[in-house]
Amino acid sequence: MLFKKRKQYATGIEIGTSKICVVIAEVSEKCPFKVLGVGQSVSSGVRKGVIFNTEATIAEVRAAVADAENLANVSIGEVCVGITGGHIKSAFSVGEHMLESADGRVTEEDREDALKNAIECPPKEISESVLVLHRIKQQPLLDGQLEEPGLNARGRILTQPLYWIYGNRNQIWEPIKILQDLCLEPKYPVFNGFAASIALMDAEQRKKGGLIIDLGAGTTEFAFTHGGCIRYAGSLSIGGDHVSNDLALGLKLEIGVAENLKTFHGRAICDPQAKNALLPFKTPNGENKSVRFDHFQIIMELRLKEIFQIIRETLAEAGLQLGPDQGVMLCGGGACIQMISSLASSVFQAQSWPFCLNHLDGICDSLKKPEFATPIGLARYCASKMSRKTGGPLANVFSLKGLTGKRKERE
Amino acid sequence: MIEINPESQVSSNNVFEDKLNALVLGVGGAGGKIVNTLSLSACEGLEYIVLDSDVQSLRQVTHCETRQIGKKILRGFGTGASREVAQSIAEAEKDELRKLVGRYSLLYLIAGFGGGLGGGVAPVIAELAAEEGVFVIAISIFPFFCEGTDRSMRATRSQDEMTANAHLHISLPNELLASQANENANFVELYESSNRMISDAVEGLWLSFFCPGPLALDLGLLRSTFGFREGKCMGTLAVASATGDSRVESLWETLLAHPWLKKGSLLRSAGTVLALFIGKDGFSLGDAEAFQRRIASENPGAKIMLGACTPAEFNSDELRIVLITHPRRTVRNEEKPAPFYGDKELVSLNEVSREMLEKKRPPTRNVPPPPALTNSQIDLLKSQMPYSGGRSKRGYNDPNQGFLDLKITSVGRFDQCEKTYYKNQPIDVPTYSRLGYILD
Repeated sequence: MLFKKRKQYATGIEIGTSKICVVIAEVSEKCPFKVLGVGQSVSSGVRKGVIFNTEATIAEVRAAVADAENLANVSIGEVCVGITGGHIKSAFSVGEHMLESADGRVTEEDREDALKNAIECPPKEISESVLVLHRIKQQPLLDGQLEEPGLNARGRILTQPLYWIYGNRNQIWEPIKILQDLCLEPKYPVFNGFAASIALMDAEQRKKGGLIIDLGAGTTEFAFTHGGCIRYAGSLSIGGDHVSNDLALGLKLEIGVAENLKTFHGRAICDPQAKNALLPFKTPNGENKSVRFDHFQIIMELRLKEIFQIIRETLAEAGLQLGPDQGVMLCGGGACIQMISSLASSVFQAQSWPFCLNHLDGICDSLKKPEFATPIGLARYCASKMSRKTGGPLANVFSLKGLTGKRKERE
Repeated sequence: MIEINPESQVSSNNVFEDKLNALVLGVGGAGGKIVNTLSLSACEGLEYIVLDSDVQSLRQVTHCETRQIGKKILRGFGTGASREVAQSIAEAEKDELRKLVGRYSLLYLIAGFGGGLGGGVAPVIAELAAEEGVFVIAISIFPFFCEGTDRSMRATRSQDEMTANAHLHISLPNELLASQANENANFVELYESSNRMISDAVEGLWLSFFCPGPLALDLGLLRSTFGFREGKCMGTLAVASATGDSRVESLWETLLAHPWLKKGSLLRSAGTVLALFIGKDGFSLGDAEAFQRRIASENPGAKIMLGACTPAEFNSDELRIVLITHPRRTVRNEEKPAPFYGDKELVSLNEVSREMLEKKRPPTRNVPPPPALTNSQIDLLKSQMPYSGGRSKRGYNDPNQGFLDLKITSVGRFDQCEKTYYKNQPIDVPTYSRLGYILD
């Protein structure tokens, strides 16, 4: 080789309701993914995942990017930006193809044609006002039966389901414009729930399937995976801010005090011993006050339980249910709340796995926290995209059955 | 041998007569004119009074007693077609009006609803009389369309109030009368025919109570049939008379062509049909049966009530029929309507109210919603309001809307944000508050 290959830097930026987080990772042949720097800043211009104060958000993103660049000592270019908010929706489309081969076996051309048909027949919800984020290929069906890849079975009609994740065009463009104003290259808008599933699940877990819940401050994203691909994803405009708000209203506290109490004493399931106990705290003025601990815990439990119940109902309406070997994985700031896994287990009647990023290389222990799952997932998505271009080691890092048909066309 | 004290017999008769007495009260200009005409052929046991604020109108009443209302406020003038003024006058002179109508068994309330006094005062009188236990039969005249939209709207509002307050409300639209009259017919002729029919109806109803004949019809039956508060609606009436052998056929033909029955359509859609026959020697049970069969064939589901009386002064060959039709009553959830005078429902409603009042208010700002009322309780609450149904009116609430709980439904920091709903529930509102969890 005449010239040594240049190092590439993958960047994931999450513009969240409570914080803005930038993760810069190095992508090279030696080390497919190595986090070099992380920058954070408090987010004040976002409510429920939707940017309402652009000026403030630009300044905060700039500060976070500058921190990360200083730490990593590199300058970033291509960026993968996280998209969230209640406007994110999803729908299915189906492409059918009559097999043309004489022996009735499925060929690659048949698969491509079926996929093309699925792309050309988008769901009715896709209009000019929406922007498609992902088109996720599902397991194909041969004459109405799931096609096993290795069997080389015969049939007449190949059906290719495609899962579309889309959102409001204007709201998706808002963070992209902000990054463009900062002279960054926001190439890949990615749904936050999708990014979290990339970070949290290794290939084995992906195949087994499960539910990823990202409990953010303003929104809660969830993604249900099965058979190696995302089957359902959604976003709720409820999050940790609602918990703090409930505490502030119910216990007559200032919102800042309620936030602090939630962070340091929050508990997802009521402690029977807390009955009639008092929780002392100091006000910003230095006064000593206290609130009923059982009330504090009840308010939190009711809200968190409701969030999980809404997700469970949404999945049930889509005809999905967690299997016996599938579980729930929690991430986001809400995953730090005590007993949250137990609450999720009781609501979903399934095991709840503790948050874990140990399967990922190139991440220091201080970053293996639930609130970094989404930005790390975004950075890995960016790294994978870069590797696909260059044929690097991360090219198939999340082989979720190829994801988009669009990419297939480009390739 | 039992000796009968003649004095005691007299006194018992007096008691009987005192109880069964009726007042024909004409309210306002139109009502006064009709009652003045009615009083010309005065029936025994009926008293006629005309109530008005306009002195000039009262002067035209020559055959019956007159009462002036709103003397201090209006100084002898009319209300200027203002229902509000009329209502305030009625409110101010409530006690006098209650005293006026409270001593009768039956009140015929006759008023034109196009003006101010009739439409404003008559519903209040009906309410006062009903409170006193008087059975109220209201006959209202709806103005001609050519008299203007304003009058029609005013009349509609008065009609709604009257329907809610009176036990039986008969609405007679002048327009229906005009639709079948000749193009050259003048107002005087129309009003005369209208007055004649109302007079016959009032007289016929009263005679059926006062002079019981072969088919008895008493006030109690009328009260039990129409005296419900639930699902009340306006009825209509028609009067026809015939002579000769084929008088039942000709009566039937006349009724089917009657303007107030809308060419028989109201008869076919009626829930209750009250037919009063007034005749003498020629009237037979066969005639009544034939008539009943005809009504049943036109309207198989209708509840038919027949009454017949044979007054002494009546022409021997003539057969007259007074027909009152009442639309089908709509009762929610197929519940049996609660009787107006029954107090079982009232007790249960009071219990609910007492429970709600006695419930200790929780110390937090967010309180759970009050207990939901049953359909029958809502209907009862609605019937107790002076205005029910129709267009919304300031000052009255529709109980079907349910209670607006007085809790503070603050969403705190999300006040300025776009609201989030899940299955029509505002999920920005704290969960404990929506679930009614009380933080004691």
